[in-house]
Amino acid sequence: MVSMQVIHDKITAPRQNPRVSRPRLLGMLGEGLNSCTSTIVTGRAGAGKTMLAKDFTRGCGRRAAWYTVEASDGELPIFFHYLVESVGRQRPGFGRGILSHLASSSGFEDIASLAEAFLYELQECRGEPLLLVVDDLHLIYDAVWVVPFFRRLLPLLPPEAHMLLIGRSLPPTPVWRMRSKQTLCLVEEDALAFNAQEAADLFASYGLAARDAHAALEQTQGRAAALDALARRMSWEEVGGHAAGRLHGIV
Amino acid sequence: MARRNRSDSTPEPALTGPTREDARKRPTFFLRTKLLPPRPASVLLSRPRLTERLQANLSHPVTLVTAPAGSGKTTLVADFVRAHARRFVWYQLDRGDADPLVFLEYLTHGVGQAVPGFGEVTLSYLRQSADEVARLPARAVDVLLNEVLQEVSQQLVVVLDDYHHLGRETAVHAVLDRLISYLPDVMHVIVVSRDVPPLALSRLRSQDSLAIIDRQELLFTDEETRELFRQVFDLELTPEQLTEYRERTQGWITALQLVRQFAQRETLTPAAGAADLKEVLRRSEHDIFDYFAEEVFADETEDVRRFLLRISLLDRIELDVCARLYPESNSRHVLPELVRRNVFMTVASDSRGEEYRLHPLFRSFLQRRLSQESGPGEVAAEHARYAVCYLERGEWEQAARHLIATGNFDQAAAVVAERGGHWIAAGALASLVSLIEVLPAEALRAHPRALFYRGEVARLREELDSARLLYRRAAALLREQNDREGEAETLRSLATVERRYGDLETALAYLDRAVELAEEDSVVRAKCSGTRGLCLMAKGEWAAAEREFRAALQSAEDHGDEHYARLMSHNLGLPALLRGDFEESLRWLRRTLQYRGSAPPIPQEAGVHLNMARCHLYRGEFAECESHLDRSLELSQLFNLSVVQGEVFETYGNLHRELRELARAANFYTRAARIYKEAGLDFARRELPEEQAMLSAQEGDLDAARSALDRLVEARAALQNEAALKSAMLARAHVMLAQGEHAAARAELGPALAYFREHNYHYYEAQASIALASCAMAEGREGACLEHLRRAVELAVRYDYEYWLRREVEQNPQLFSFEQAHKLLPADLRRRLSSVQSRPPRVREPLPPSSQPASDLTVNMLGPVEIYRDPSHPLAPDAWTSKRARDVLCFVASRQHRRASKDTLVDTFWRDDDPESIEKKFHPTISYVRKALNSNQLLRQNFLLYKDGDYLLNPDLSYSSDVEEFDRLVVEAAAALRGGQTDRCHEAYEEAVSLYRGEFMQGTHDEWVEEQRAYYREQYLRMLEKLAAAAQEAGEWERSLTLAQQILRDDPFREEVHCRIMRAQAALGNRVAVKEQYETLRSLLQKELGVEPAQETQRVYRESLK
Repeated sequence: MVSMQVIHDKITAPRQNPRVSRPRLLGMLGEGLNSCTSTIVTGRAGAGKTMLAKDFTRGCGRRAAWYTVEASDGELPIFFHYLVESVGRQRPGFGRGILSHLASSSGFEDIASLAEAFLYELQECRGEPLLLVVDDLHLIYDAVWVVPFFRRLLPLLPPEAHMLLIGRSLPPTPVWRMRSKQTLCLVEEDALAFNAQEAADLFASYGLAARDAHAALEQTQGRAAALDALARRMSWEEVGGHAAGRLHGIV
Repeated sequence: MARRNRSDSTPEPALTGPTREDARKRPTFFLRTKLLPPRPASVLLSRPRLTERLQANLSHPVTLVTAPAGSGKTTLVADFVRAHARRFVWYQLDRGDADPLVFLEYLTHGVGQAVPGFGEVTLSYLRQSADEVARLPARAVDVLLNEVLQEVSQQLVVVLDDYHHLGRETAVHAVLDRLISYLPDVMHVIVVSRDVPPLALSRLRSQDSLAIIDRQELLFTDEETRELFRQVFDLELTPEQLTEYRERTQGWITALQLVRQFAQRETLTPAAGAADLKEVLRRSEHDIFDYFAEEVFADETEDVRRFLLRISLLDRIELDVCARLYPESNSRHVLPELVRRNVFMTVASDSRGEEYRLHPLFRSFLQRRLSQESGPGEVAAEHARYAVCYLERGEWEQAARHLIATGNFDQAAAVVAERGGHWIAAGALASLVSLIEVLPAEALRAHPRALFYRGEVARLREELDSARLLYRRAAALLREQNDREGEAETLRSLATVERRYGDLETALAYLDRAVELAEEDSVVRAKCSGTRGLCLMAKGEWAAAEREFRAALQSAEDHGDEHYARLMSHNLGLPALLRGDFEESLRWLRRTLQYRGSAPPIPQEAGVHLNMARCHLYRGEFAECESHLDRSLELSQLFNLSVVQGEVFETYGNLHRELRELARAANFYTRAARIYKEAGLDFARRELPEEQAMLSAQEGDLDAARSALDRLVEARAALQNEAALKSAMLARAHVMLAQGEHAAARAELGPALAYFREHNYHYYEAQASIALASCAMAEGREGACLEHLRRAVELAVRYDYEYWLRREVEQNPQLFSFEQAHKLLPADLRRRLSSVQSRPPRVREPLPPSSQPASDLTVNMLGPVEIYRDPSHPLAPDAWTSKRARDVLCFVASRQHRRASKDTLVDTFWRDDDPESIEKKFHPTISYVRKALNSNQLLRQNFLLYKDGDYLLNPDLSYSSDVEEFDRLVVEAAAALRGGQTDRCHEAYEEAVSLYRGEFMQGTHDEWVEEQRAYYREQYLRMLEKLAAAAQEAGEWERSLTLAQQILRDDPFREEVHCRIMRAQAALGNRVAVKEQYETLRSLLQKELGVEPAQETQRVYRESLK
């Protein structure tokens, strides 16, 4: 028997907000929101994907449905159930009909039809424009249904429901076709890396100097979590202006 | 590196209604007054012959005082501890103490009252692990003993009064047996009991560790009887009267006490007394008692008599209960007055309250009398009144007992059914069972939850068959009554039993039914999820198990049940670790610790820290890994979790291997292996053989690694454990690759990879993929190589195996050298690869072979004293609280068999002290030794044991001592000399001489040191002389000169050595030096002794100048 108790944490956006906003990346996402049906953000652990998405949900002007995938969501009924629940939180009544029935049935013979049913419900159960964030999708990339499901779903999303997928690598579903048609916005690890200005902003938020930020950027190669951890540590340890001298041996 | 079987002691959650928080408060079951000694009697005859016996036995672990009721046991022991023991614990037992948890909790509280700060760890363990204590009481004893070793440094006497109340069938006897077996020397236990308790006494007796004071010894001697009459009645007994007394009372103290009271009342005159006393003594023991009881009783006023009769029904007589039940009796005044007048009543009290106790024989007299006077109806009515009172006070156990006494079984069963969970949470299993067992079948049928609790007790005691039957009956009855929640809870428990039997399908079926019955969002549902998760884990269905744990966690958090939330977080960490998602695992394991806040630790935390250490190790976070290992080691020692300790050592080994500190790794593996062996574990089921084989491979011994893994693969195939087999195959494939056997490695890796992928062992899969890429590369199959690399990199990115990937890239740069492979890597790793490739190929420096593990303790005494356990972790600079403690250790270490009796130690170090000051100093000094040797050390060990009156260095550990090595070399040299092996003899001399850093125990001037100092100095000089002579014979003049000068530094008066120097200097052509040497000797002798050099010396001088 599949347990269908919904874990609320999984369909709630993380409480934490980023220390500094990154207009460069928010701009990319905003552009994608307007011109594409979906967005994929990829990068290794600590690249700053989730924080960026969280920041984006605050200022994108849409209601945001959030779903953090876990490794145990590898079965389609469970994934689908959570997906529907997360949308249902933003659009009351969503999925109460045929979808809830589909979600609770254990076998899916036609994965593509399930994606279509979801799209149909989005279309029928109207409401404010929506941003659907699916975080940590990489944990279930190996599941066999992932490719057919998303291949069907992504290109057909209505304009008022934009999907933002987050994973540590690109999903196995072929994305080139969508990219070539410019219906998919892709933000990869290289873009996620902090640039000098962003690093300076981050360090300034900790009361640290821009030259410290510069040195730290070199060491961390712009990786968000490492940069932030370093800034935090330096702001604790720092009593004078010797941060740069101490960098050696910290990272 | 290790990857498979984790510390998977998935805790089974607590089952019953109340949370652990309830258990912590436990108001119903803890009575402070049970830890109070009886107040001294107003008139007391001291009995030196017995107190001396008790005093003399304090150096042994146990004294047993056993005799029938009224023999004066308690009075004797109470008098003794008050007068002689500086610190003592008095624990008044009753039948409610027959549960290990209850017993240990009182005991711990008792010790805590005597030793401030004691008990934090033990009490916390007992409170949070009631079910574990029921199953493994010995572990709780170990926790207590560890804390005693740690905290108690002054002698402490523990009195267990009225031990017979526990009965024959209780696990407490085993608890006490274990406690006594490992009792630290600072503790002494006095067991006071009417019968000989079923303890393992014969072993103690054979070890001379037990003293028994029995009825025979407690009886009054003629002299004591005479003294009693003299002191108390001012009456000198005639020899005839004395004989009469001896024959009639046989020295029975109560009879004599009765006589005394009678005499006091009658203001007995010497003349009248003799006749009356004779009459008194015609009666036998019980008759005498009854007679006097009646006499005493008759003397009281009507009100007091009625009051006494009624309170005889109470197990414990508390002032506020009496005041409430008998407001008219003025009990606050009457009770102390009865005690004052010695009306067979004693009182235990401290500043906060009092509890009164009737003499047991007097109490049975009163009960008999009540029943005769009032009839069963009134007695029952009285019990009913008590029951109501206790129900209102929330004292369920007392209430239930009185309800049963009234025959109101139905309400008693209702109380048990409603409150049984509290009993269990408090560990009062035996008293719960004793109540349920007297309840008739129809009462239990009406209240089947009582049956359920009986089942819970059976399950906690590991009586699974019986638990299963009880649960089934309870479930059927609950169904009849339509108690859905009760039935659900019972079915959940039934499922846990089936899971333990390994029948997972039946367990899951019960859980399905339980979930149907239980209310949504109920505690039972959450617990069903937890149990279902464990079943699914056992079936290898991790994802499903994780979902269940997740649901249970959410529910526990909603209900504010932190303990359960902690267990579920812990359980959630395990599947993630098995999958190889270390970051995720760390997230859950950290949460397990976060719930705890500042509360004391629980045993499961040792496993949590161990698993966190493993995660950090796989992620290359070595400092974090080490700090979690340290913590895990500390906890596993605290709770005596030997297998976890073994796993901690194994992981330390892995850590050092990863850091390429191979000798240390080997050392830790050896320790782990020793522990697994002692625990009787099957090595093939552990990861250790793989780790050791990989260590051999790292040391360059591929053949040894290969043959160890061949054996392991074979053993694992026989175990039919696929995951373990595949991981051994993976390890073997690595060795095959290193041996250049690519085809064989490929054959091994193919099925392993498929298995890992199918079962989501991501970390394994990544490793197998890289290994297969290596095979393909070696065989020129570039496409296949790329495919495997792509998968390995993909997994590394998904699960953040950054450390691992970096290491692979650095170790096999050629694997990623072709363009497409290069492109797979993230940018920073590509840069790193370029820098690796631009370096000239690094020749790995040969690794030192793993040395034998160093000894556990080194004590060097030839020269300034050196004591250390691990040269890289010296003892804290202020480790030795006193120099005497250090010297005591050296003394024991330098003795034969590293053993010294307590008497010898006292005689050597405290000869001039008086006994009281010795008692004050001795145990703290021993405690300082133990603490010093554990200062600044990760692993706590008890090096100094106490056994059969001797202190000895723990024979389970290994030692290194320069003195022992020196002695060994002396013997070896002598043997070599006898066998004509002069070279070997001289080698031994040289080794011995090099050990001599200075005089024995330099800086210490105690008497015991002198003899040994002289001996070693003599030996040292003798060997130097022999070596110097040999050098001279061989014509090695320089060397002979050095050796001779070395001797003179220690003993400048040796003329023959001066001669040797003169000869050597002459041989080297240094005539001036010859003269100088002779002059030095001559002026030394003249100045110090007023003599000239001997004739022989003068002759050598003259010859040397020729």
